[in-house]
Amino acid sequence: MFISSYMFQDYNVINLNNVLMPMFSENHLLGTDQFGRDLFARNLRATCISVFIGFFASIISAVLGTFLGLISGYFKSFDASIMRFVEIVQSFPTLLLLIALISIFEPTINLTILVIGFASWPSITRMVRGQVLKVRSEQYIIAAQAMGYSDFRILIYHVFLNCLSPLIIIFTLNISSAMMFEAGLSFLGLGVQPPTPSLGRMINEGKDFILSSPNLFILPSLILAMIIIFFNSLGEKLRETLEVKK
Amino acid sequence: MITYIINRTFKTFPIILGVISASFLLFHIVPGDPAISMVGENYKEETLQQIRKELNLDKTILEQYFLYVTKILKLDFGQSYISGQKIYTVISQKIFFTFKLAFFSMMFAIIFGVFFGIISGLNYKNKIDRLIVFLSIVGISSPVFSVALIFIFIFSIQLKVLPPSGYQGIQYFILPCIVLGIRSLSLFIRITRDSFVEIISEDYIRTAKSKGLKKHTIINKHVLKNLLIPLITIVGIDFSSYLTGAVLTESIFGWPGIGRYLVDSILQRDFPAIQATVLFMSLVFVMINLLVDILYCFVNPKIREILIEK
Repeated sequence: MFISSYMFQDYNVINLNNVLMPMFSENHLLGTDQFGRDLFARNLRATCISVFIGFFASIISAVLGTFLGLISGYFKSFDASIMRFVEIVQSFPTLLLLIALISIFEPTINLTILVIGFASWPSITRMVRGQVLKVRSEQYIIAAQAMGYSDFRILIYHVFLNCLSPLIIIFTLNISSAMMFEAGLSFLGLGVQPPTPSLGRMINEGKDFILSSPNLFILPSLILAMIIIFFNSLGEKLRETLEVKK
Repeated sequence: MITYIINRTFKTFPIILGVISASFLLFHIVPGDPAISMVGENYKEETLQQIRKELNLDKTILEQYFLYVTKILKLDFGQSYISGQKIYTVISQKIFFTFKLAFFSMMFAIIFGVFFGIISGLNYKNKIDRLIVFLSIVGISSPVFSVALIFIFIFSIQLKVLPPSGYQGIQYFILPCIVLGIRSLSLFIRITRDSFVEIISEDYIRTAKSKGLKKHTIINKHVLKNLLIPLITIVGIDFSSYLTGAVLTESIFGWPGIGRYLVDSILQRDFPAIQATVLFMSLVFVMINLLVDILYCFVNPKIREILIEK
């Protein structure tokens, strides 16, 4: 009864006859915003978009970071140059780097994903490289080399699979930090552009109505905090379980 | 140790050069002609050429790069498109406000973080500890701006005890400092708690206990000193969150610091100002990291020995 079709309305339908409706009003469970758009639908959509951005940004950083980490750990000739590069990227405060990059171009969702992904790979590279250095002198790697396996095969089947569990942990924690960055960027008006909702964007738009209808910014703030808490504690739990096994 | 400090300092030069080069390259791929965006839509061809010459846009990229680096070394960060002011003078005025904010919120975070961390460690794994750990997880996971808005909502709008924004007196410091400090407060609590539990089980604490020392003497003399090392590490790691947090906090609380200047420049698409501010903040970040590494070696004799042997 409570969950019915009216809750899943179009998140962009403007209805100027019922703007800024309070929570639990008829046909709008969480109320409406300043354009009469349904807040339940918008929050739902915004959550999807924010998680989507966080997820794909961490995939980009995981792929890039793992690739560079494997190369720099396994091939000594690339090690120094990659690590210097990592140091330079890490010496930029991340959000500033993102701001600088995005302020140059027109902000879109794809650009936001790319930029966050490209800014957060260094920590993964460091971790993978450390793991590779640990594994490289193991006997099974030497055996594989002696049997004449190609470097590619050794890297994928023997080295990479050994980095997998710390990688999964970092990947999970990265989702939450990527979502935090996305929210920060959107809050500054640099990430997701209107009318598309994202949690940071909605907090930014809602802050102008802090006096009359605080539910506009409180709801997305709570959702954002809860999702980030979820991924953070998921990462912590994964760390506990995966590290105990070792 | 002096060799280490000199070595470490020399190691930062390539990084500084990398940061400068990156900021040059980033803003060299700006779409559109910066000269046109300076003169506006109705421009004369002559003024356009003149401005191009002033900005060195008629030279090759390499020449432009060398000119850029020499200008930065002379602390000349260029002029703002919008106001025409020298960016260096603006930044050097505004950085004080940001440092003030960062300093007070760091003090807040350290004092309360260590305090609650020790309380949590003393009550290890009972209800008080669980509550503090839960709150610190919430603190780490909440974005600065939503905490800021919720605090404004509670303390300025509902309770009407603190001003929501501005910079006039001591009461204007409270909300921004707490909001900016909350993330590192939570980090400090967790680090203090974990290291406290670790230190408490060491042999020298057992010796101190068996000598019959009082509980607070043990904590003051033995535990707090050993807490310094993990705390300094966290201050160093967390400093970037102060810089980025300052950008968000200052723009919400109307703080006249460098972070709000950056946001304003972005909204006006004032590229020289964005470039200079990002570069400046990154350089501050690199310097702080250098400082923390050197401090590290002063505080911990063990690390000092390892470093000297190297």
